[in-house]
Amino acid sequence: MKKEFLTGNEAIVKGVLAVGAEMMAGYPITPTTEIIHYWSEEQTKNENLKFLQTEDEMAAGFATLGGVLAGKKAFTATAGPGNVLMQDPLSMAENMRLPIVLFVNQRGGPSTGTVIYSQQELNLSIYGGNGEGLRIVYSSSNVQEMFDNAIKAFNTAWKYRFPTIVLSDGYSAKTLVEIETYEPKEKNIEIIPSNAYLLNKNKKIGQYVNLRNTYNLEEELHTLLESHQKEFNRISAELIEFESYKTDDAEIVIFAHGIVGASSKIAVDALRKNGKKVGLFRPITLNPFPKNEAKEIASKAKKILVTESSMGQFERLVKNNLYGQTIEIETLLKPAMGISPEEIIKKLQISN
Amino acid sequence: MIETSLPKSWKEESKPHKFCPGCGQSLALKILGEAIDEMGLQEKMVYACDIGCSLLSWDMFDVDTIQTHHGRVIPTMVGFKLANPNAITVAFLGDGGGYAIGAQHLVNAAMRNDKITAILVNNANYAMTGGQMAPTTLVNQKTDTTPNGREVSKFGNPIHGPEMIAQIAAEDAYIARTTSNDFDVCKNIIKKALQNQIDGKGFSFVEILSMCPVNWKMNAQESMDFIKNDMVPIFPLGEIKKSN
Amino acid sequence: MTWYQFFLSGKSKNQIKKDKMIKILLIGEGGQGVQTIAKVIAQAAQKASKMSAYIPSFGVEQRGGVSLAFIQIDDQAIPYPRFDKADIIVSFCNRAIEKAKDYITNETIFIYDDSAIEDEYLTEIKPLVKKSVKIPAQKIAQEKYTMRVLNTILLGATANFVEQIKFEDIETLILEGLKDKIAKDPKIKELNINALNEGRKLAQESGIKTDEISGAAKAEIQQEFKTDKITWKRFPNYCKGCSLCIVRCPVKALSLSKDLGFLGNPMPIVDMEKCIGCKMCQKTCPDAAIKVDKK
Repeated sequence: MKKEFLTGNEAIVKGVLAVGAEMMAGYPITPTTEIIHYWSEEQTKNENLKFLQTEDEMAAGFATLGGVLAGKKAFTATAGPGNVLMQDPLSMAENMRLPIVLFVNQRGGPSTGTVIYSQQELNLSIYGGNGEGLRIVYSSSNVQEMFDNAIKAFNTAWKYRFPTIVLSDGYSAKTLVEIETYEPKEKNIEIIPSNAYLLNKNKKIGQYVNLRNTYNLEEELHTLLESHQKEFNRISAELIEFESYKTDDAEIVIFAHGIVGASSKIAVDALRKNGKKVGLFRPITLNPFPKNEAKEIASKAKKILVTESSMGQFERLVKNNLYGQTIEIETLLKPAMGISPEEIIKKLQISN
Repeated sequence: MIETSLPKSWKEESKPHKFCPGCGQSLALKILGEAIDEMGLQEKMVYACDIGCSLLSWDMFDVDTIQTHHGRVIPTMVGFKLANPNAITVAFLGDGGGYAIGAQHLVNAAMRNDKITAILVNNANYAMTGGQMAPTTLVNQKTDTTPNGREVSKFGNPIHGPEMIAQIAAEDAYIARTTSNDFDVCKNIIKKALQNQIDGKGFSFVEILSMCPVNWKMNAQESMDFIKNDMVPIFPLGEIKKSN
Repeated sequence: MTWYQFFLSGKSKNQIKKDKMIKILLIGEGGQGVQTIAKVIAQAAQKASKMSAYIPSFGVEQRGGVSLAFIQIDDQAIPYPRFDKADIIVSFCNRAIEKAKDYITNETIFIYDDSAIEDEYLTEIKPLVKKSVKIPAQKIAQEKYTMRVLNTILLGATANFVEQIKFEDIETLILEGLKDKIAKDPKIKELNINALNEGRKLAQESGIKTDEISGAAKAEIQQEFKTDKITWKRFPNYCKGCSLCIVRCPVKALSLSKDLGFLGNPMPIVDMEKCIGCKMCQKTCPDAAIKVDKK
């Protein structure tokens, strides 16, 4: 374990290397380009690392899937309009439960938007593509989590075999701070191995694998989807992660994710100093969502404030999971703009 | 059990296959199967198909197979080859997957000289969806979306894929055009395209002119004549780049 | 079940004659013309001032998959084009029976081609069929007409049991669909009119039977043809009748026979006196349905 002074994008690359990532295909797009840059430098020092700059994000995603099929720990990274194109390969990964890992640094949208920052890619990352949203989605709130979740993403993907996405944002990608980096074994984190789907080293002569994502009969696809959903539900309990900060006696609980969660935490401490009983509930896995824990909090508190840098993508997710709860929900929504602790404090001081 | 003429690398359980009666694409796949048998590649290769009629080949072969999205078979095989350079990777696609929705992948694979073998079936239409115009549809050819025949003023001339790719390709690329009606020549060319990859040389690309009697609304004789008299004059057969 | 499905199912139970709503399911091989006649039935209903809804159902393949057609006819607009149980099922081929099982009730009129469907394929459906109509469409088509009017014969037979439509309208519509072909070959008009009427006649002769259904004996198809030097084999379970082998044979040793392949298509047959064992037919067959051995 050591202390290192890193940006968010550097932390991602260090994290993937720590957990044994072997291949990346990518297309440059702000604010994710640095990941491609650092990886392409790393692979000059280590011939076991593979890198391909592709012609677009669709090729990046499908080439990454090619690597996954060959049994490599492969990942890609994108943002904004690149994330839109990435839905093509992600849909295939979702249908076939292929363990692709994707890092997304959210930027302003829709369309080209800004290259700067947002939390507007939640819908896309969970529900993009023409499927049911069977992707595991993490949301990192600071540079330390970008390192931690990079390790987690590969282990999650190869253990549970669902496409795994780690959401971060343009601010965090470029923030330079000190974090603790480590080898997984130093924290007793098991490294899950990968293995090939096609031309597996244990393949016997005369044994062949024919993989597809197209079905002739409605019933075939229906049965497949039910089985995927069942497995997703089964693993949810093991997978769910959240932070519940000063919620035990809280009258108002802020619901936020990612960097807005970090901002909210500062607001909670400031408000507590002034005697206000405020807490923070911060899902770390957005999908699966920590539904039971959220409901528990909603049943005890008097009010919820949902805050995000989007026009309601997280709010919808929260409300969907809190169905049945009658608690009052207020919102502080700022699509494509950062939300400072001061703004949150002001919002909660005004409201009562 | 009466011995059949199925190639050994064809998966028996999935036969009869789902291609139309008289389909030139399935004939090309039979020729590919024989090439795989003769070169002993079954255990060493990965076969990937695109969307369109080629998706019907997902269980054609007793070979590890992946069916991908439309136009994306080439990047998938490029990624696979990068991860497993010893594997022989075959990307099988149609005129839509190669020259329309996946054109940028074909062009970039040729530019990078990716060591894969791409086999493209040219039947001058989008067959699976009912016979719409393809980049390779001939001038005046009637299709679902060109009911009065392909007009040059609106849609230009048919694309010459191998010739276009040859402009970008490296010296050790292998590029050819053949037809599944000339079985022996076709098999030879497919074998060369595979050998080029086995030898560690560059990008290999073969276009195969194939009959589509159902969407051309022709019988066996007419569809053979269409290849010979209409398509070959526009899409000349032969090796365009021989990989030095 | 939604309110309208409940509403519709209540209306159609046991009531083909009394009520106006009727649900017809046609099942055949892709390429046998199931959809063509389904559309005619639906259009005939509209012509008779009824409301109809028709939806085809098939898989990705252009040809060769089992083809289903759902037709509903009623006095009022039909909100949902598919149904779970049928009043009439028309089965063209062996592979239709597996599908038919899901849609049959005690009141269903099961119209089937007992000359095409082999008895062993009917085993599981026999206990479920209470009302049946035997139409030897394939046999009649082969003996008196051509296989191309197989669907027309079955159309005539089916129309006999659908009192919501007029037979003359069926005739008009089927000829309208064939008008380009008739322009090239006027004989097609008479062929289809005769086939249509033949179908109706067969239906009337059969009537609705209540005894156990039975199908054809397993077709005896000669697969192997030999001389002392050359063996020529054909595979009915692979042959789709594309005729490439016939076209490419350099000595014209091949021709279409009356033997049918698995899609109900005529298969090639060889004249071993002409065959030179060049294997052109084997090479050109996209389905590996021919094998030639030469000593």
